[in-house]
Amino acid sequence: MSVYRSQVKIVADVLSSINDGSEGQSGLGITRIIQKANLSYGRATKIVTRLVDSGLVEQITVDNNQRYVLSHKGIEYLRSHSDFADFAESFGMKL
Amino acid sequence: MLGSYFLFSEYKLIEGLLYLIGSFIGYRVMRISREGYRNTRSPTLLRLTISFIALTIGFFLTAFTYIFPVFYELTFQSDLIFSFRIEFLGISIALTSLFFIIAASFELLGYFILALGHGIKSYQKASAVSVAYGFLTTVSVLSILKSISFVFLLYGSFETLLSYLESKKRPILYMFLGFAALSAGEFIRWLALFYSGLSPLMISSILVKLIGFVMLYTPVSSFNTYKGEQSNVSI
Repeated sequence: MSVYRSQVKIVADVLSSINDGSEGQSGLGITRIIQKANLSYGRATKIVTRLVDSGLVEQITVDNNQRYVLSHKGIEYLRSHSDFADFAESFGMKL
Repeated sequence: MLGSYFLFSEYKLIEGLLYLIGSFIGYRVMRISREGYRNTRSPTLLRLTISFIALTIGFFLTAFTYIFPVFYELTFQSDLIFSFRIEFLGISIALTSLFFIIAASFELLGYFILALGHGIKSYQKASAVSVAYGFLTTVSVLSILKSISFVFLLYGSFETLLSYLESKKRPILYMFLGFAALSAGEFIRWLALFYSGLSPLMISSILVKLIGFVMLYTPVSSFNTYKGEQSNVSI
């Protein structure tokens, strides 16, 4: 049975995919984000664009390829998401 | 609840202090949830924030209704003439009823949103409410509100137990024990109303509720209000 993922959880999954997957400063391409976060191309690009606009993710160009790295704000967001996920879980709820 | 207010007047101050502790815990949870919502924009944390705002107001109003008249009586007992005391008693009963109903409404709202967070679906029929309104007395309104709150509290504790059985994490167990103890405390309190004069029931109700509040605070105490560099994230 597939587990329902809320919008907040999907965003956190995309951010942690970028965080875990990017090696050094080279960042992560959209294809790897799609694979790691288990999203469709359309949905992934939409979310990544929103994350870039909100300053959580930075877009860089490496060898003519668009890559994504987590900004300082994105790392902070991921950390607070993890903390508050534990908090909500103590009430038997999921973020 | 209102009945017990007059039956067990000697417990007013203790119960007031208990609800004051409850409002403090509610306030702490509300602040952490609010910080969480500001940082993550999670609807779950928004529901928790609204729920605990309502519960904090409800608990605080209940505490105020219990404690304030005690101090008033202690301060002015010897100075008041008899007729004024009778008049004061009438106003006091009316105000107490009103305050208890407002407090119970906030508690009901808080527990309802908390239960909603667990996925309950509820529908209200406005027409039925307006028709029934005329037949209800103050005390029965209060009893209905408290009964519905009790059901939501039971539902919340049951769902929390299910979450604990799924994940086996200790903070969830504390939260379940907290909600369960609060429900048990409320139930014992009702029993105390049926058997007037049995003060051990009233004392155990207060003790069980106190244990409930302590259990609720145990997982919450490990969370400090988050002071991240960014807030009001818009995703």
